[in-house]
Amino acid sequence: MKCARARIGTSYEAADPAFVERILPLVDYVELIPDTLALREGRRAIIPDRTLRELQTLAQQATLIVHGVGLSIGSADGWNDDYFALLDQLLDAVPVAWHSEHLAFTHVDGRFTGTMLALPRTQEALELVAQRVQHIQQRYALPFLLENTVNLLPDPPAEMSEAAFLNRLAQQTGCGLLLDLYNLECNAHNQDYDAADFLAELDMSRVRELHLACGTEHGGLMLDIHSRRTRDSTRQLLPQVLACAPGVQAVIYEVMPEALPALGHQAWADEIALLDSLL
Amino acid sequence: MNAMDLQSYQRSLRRLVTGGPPAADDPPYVRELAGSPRLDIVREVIGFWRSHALERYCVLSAAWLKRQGRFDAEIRRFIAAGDFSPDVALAGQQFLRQLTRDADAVVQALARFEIALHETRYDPAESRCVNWPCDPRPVLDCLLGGSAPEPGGDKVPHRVTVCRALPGGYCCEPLPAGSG
Repeated sequence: MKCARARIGTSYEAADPAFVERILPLVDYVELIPDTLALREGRRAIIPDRTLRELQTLAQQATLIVHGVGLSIGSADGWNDDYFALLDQLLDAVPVAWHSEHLAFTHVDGRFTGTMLALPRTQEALELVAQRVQHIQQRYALPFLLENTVNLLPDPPAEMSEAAFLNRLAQQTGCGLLLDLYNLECNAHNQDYDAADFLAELDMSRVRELHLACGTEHGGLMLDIHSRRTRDSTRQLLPQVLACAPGVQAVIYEVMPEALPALGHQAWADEIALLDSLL
Repeated sequence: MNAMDLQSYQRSLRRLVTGGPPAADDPPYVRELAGSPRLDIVREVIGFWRSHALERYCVLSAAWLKRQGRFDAEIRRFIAAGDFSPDVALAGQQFLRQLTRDADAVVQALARFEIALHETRYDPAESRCVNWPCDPRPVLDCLLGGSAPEPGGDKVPHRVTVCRALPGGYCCEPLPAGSG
């Protein structure tokens, strides 16, 4: 079954003329990460006016969506308020269809952990994140999605499965889900479970967006780096998921700018065309 | 979660991933994690991204430390020190400030010089003075041109003026004897 509403998109971090020329014509969605658009002005991070003007031009050609990496929605001591300042600035300047964040934490007692860390799947963590999702939903009149994240560490003691944790958050708050198929593959490999079991348990009616990417393997673990074209195994999940997730509107190929010197814009364009052909 | 609240869990995890030891009252999961090869990989990942960011912001200091085989150790020290920013510019400034307290006077001076470059790069009217324990030119020539610095080198203290309006962005002069 083909999902009629899913359209292709990709991530973008601004100021890349080759993207505008070669990639933008191929996509319906452009996904922006506020943290990577920002520059420092003293102690404060802001998105420069020139970047906002560029995004306003992009918005005439594609639907913009926002994907956060710096909110730290799962920090017990409080989230990162600076992220909201960036999100406010972005939403004031450009139309955005929805926004999302990783189900993770990056700060503890206001200090950066150096990487995104998975939450323990406990009732306490569930209640904390549910309250915060509701706060975000009240603050912004936009759909909000949570993304499944990669956990490289051994799974901590849990009170529910990964899919059940996401389902309960979605049920309690009404938020949507961003299902990252590469993250799912990483976790299935790293935590030694079957991706099919996760997909069978996840409430697919909540999934609005999919991510596809590819990283590297190191020390026997799959790392979520966004540096390569997708693997066959990741792409094979795409039609399976679309067939049972009728609410998916966007399929985003994630690539980080640091990978482009090796990957190249042509490979980026080819990957988008390949994924688009699967929708 | 097995007698550990979320806040305590996150504090323990942050301490571990940034290079610290487990605490005596950590629960079994955290204590077992401390000996896990997966923790080493997470630490490597954190180190990789910090190295990547700091090489971009602290171009000269990073290159000098690499030549001395000290860069990776300084990155680990930076992470273990505790409060580093995810922002490249802020983390870069923090790293350079760490290096201004280095035992090696050339590393200190180079970090101050690089801070001055960042502070003056947008305004030609801004200038900063940095004292060096030696003539900075062989060090900077070596970093910018890829040549090996002269062994021994000039040990005469110099004062370097950093200003975008100057040709090459800086000028230097020997300090009078006894003023270094």
